[in-house]
Amino acid sequence: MNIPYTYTMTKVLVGEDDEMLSSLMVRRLQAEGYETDASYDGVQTLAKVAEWKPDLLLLDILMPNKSGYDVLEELHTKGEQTGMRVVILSNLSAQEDVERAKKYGVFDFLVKANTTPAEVVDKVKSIIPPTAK
Amino acid sequence: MSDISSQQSPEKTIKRQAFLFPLSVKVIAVLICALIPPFALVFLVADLLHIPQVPPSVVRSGIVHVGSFTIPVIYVVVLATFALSLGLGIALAEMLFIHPSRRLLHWLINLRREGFKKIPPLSLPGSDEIGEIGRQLGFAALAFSRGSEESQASMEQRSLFIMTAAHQLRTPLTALLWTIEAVQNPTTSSEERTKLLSSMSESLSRMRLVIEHILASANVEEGRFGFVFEQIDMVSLIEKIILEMRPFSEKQQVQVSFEHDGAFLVFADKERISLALADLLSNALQYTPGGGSVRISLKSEGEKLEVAVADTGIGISEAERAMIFNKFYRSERARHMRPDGSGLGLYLVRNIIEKHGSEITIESTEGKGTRVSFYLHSKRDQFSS
Repeated sequence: MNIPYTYTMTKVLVGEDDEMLSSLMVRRLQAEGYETDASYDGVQTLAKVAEWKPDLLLLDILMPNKSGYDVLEELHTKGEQTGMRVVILSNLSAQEDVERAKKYGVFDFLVKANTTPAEVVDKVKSIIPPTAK
Repeated sequence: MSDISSQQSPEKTIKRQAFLFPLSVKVIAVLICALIPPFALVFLVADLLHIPQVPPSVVRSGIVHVGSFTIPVIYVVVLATFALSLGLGIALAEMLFIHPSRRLLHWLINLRREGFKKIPPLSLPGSDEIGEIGRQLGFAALAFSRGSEESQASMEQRSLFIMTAAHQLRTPLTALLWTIEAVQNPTTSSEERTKLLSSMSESLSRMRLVIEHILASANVEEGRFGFVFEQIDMVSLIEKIILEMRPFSEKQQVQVSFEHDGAFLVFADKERISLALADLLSNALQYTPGGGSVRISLKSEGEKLEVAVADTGIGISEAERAMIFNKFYRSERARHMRPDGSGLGLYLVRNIIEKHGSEITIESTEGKGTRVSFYLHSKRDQFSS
């Protein structure tokens, strides 16, 4: 007797204002089997998190309209226990920048200029695999 | 900060002042006062000074009985005179020299304790050398304090500058890093690969621009001009810049047009003027929403050439206008639109234009557009380089 399984693809939202970087990241993740979407500023990121409910958010800090910090702040105050993990993908690297982000309980802080998309994908895979039942 | 020197100009304070009562006079005064008791004694004994209750004979040869001791009066008198002399001398010395010195010492100690940040007022009495030491020290402390504040501010600026520059380089570097990986990926289509390669070339030219900015900025700071003026044709220079910026203007979906009435030779530093114009064009494209336009125009007015960059962008408000040339300033709206900018561009642009003997003029309406213009000269002697 076959009991049908439903596999759900893990949802990853890429919050990055540079379209080229965003599309490179999205494509890479899709190739690994993730269901991916992109948002290009802080406001759009918050909207998509609320309506699409991704499992993981790759978040840039310097974005127009609302920064990554603003996004973190709002997600924090809303306090929704979605279990969504956040990984910061930014070119800021000063101690205080990292600490400020970590205060919000982000899972990790990656510096874009020092991390290839392959490495980002490895990090994502280590946090949450592409498919989960 | 102290008010010690607020009345006096720096030049005055470095010269020594004429002293009313120099220390030497005071030393003599103290010595004279201290010598009065012994002199009085001598006159008394020599019968030149008459004190009613004390006849000289008593002083000279009298005897005093204290308990079982016999002491000649003269011993007592001499001792008393010494004591009086000493006391007088010390009291005067304390008043005229030691007290002011101690005040100076305490003032200096306080100053060091405050790290020269707050300078307490010090006014030493007397118009002698000690008083003058106090005044001069006050000025010196003020100068030192100011110098160290400036040096601190300068170091902070330098740090900020380095951080900004490094961050500016990271952006195109990221693009290169990520794009190369995609190009190397066998699953990338060849059409995609072509697009990626052209974006890599854009990233490189962006990095070159940032590095030019950094170097130009460093030169400005250290006062090294190194401007090389030669005759150049503005038309071909601007056409080249527009061509280089085409990928960017297309990405921004902003139309760029160029108006001129024929070639015009000006005296300018080719590299620097290119940098300035590239920067103005970049700003115009950056802060003009898609569908807008940027117009570069050249208008000859006799021996001068007016160069203008006009856009239909977000504009600059009155309040912002005062600040935009500051070294790291970025208006709130600019930061909103493009959080990544360094705020370094206009500071350099203005500096470059000024070295070309002109001023930068800005006309702008918030939300409608901006026009930035300046003049270039066709003759070398029109400006001091």
